[in-house]
Amino acid sequence: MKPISVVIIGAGNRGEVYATHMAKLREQFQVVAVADPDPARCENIRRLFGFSEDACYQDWRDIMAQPKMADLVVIATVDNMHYAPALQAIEKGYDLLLEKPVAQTVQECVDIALEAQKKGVRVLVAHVLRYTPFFGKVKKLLMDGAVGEVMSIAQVEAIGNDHYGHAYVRGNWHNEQESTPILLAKCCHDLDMIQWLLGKPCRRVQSFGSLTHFVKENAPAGAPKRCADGGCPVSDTCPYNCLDFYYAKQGHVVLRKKITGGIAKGSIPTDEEVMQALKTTDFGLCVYQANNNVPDH
Amino acid sequence: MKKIRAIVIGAGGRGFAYVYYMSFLRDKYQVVAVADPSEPQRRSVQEMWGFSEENCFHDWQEILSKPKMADVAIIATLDDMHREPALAAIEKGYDILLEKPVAQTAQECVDIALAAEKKGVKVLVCHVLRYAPFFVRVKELLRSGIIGKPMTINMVEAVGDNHYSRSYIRGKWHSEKESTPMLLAKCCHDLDCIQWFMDQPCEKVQSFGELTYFREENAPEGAPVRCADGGCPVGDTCPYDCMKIYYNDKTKVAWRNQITRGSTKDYDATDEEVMHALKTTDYGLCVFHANNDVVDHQTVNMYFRGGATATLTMNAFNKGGRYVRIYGTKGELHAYASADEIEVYTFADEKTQKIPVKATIESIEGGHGGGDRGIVEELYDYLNGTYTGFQAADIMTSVKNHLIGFAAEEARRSDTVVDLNEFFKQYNMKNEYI
Repeated sequence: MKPISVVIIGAGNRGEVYATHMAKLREQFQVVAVADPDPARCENIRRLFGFSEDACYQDWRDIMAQPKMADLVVIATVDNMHYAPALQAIEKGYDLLLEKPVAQTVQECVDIALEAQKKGVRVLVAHVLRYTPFFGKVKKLLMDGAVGEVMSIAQVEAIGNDHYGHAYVRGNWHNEQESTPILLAKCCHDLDMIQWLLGKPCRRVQSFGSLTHFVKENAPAGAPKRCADGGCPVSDTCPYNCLDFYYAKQGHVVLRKKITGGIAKGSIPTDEEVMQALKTTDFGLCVYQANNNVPDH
Repeated sequence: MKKIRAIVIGAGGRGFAYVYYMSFLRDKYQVVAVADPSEPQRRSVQEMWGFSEENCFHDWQEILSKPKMADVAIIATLDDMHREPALAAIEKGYDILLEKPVAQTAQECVDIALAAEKKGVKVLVCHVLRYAPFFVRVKELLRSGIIGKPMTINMVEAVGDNHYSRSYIRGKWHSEKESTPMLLAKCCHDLDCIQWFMDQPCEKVQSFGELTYFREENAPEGAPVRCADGGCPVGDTCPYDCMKIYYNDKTKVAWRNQITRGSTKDYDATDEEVMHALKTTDYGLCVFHANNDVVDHQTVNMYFRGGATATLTMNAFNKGGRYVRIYGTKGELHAYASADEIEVYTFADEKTQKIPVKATIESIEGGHGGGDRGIVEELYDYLNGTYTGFQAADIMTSVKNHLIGFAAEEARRSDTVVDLNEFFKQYNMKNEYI
């Protein structure tokens, strides 16, 4: 079996996840290059596959400027940086594993689909729920006719208050303009699932929702802008106190790594580095004073 | 203790349930008269309460043409026969226990509410789920603030395939014109509970839904119009085969009585009578050939003042049962309405608890999860002016909740989002929740 050669563009959480799983399937995949502005992340991928340091790029454009160097490109950059690398990779004739959401606007999504079709390359979008045993089994049951024709689906996406605070109030997806609306950023999976399970075109759609709770007027009186500023009158009971969440809980290694990107020197962030992140980045903001604009329901 | 005297107008399934539960509280209630076109139904109430033959009336006009003979009139006639007896009883000065839905149109509902207000009589609407231990406990939990302010409610009303076929394809609620749209006939309870839990006026509503499955074009090839005609190619496997449901299964006495006598009680329908019903009434029709027009699945999407949202999913395709999820600013709760416990998760302590619905589960008896009995128990204090509970839905509150249902129907039919502030204005009502 000849391994498929792979370039990773964007070695954050998602890119690293795909690379890590590929590393367990070496007879099938060989990662040969990586692009990420954070050298530490590039190094993580490089060490997994042992390619040369020359194949670590700070900027994905430098990879695309070279002749096609692999079969497949994994595009796992942040939401507002899918479109350009995807189009260029298609142009170069790469097949793609493309992180969802495909792009930030309808037009950009359509552009990518049409270009891929025109060029004849394969683009698999990372609708990862389709590959989970749970959803796979649900789909299989439906295909087997176990419940007949589907008449109604009621799907609940309970994000989790912690995860919402981390990703959609303080984190990468807190701003629709920088990423995408939450129906794309998060519920892209759910909408894909419903469509997949129902197996028919959706004809009409309607939606209510707003950012209602995590807004300035709900900030407890006297709450500081940053939890780490101290003196918050509800710090003992607030479930979103970032000192509890990131600083006191040493076990939250993945989250601690996440918030100290660009700050931490070693692979395990120190308390000092975490505190620095909480004092300087969005991850340290009070959830009611965080400049977020994504609906919370 | 002063006894409240009651008359019952409409002694079918619902009317009988209320006087039956009153019979456990004979120190509080005295049922003194009945009006119903069915002789066995009149007799069952009369025998239970032992009033004289002259207090048995064939129709509501008769009973309400007499001088006021009691304190409260229980109105439990069919959906299309609420407005006139209700208005006549109000005019006579009766307090009323009024079966839901209040009436068939938004205007009729408003008429009843305004007439009651003008006359100064009390009208308690039978939103019986408010008195069921499960829903009471949910409301108590919300009032305690344990999960903070509700931000999203998801309610599922799984009608049950069997129940749906009996009531909404073959039974009394199969035609919107003869009864009311499903959102009123069935989901009146759910919309009321959502509103009750949310405690804020609903400002916008939208709905999708239709009768999709139980239609002619889905009839198996060669299926006769009546199961009893025989020769149905899917007779052995069809879950809706009425021979199986009503004829072969002799244990379903109440259903057999229902289709033969229009009454579920004090009788054992014979096989011959059941067969006759299956050959002559709607109960014998193939579910795909039944001239029904009520939706078999529907969603309602709601937006409340202050920003909270709710969804209701009603459909026929299930075993049956309600499921409630409430997501609040401090925690979440969810459970099947038939469950003994409600699961509550709170953010501050990251703890999941199972809150018992009631100390002793044995104490939950009767229809609607104990709600039928519960409303009768609360009615006494409500009428007496000594009510201290938090459940009762007076007519104005109830009618406002009905308006949400009518607005949702308008939204479904017109494929739009209906602005409830505007909708209320059409009826000279204010969209304020009390």
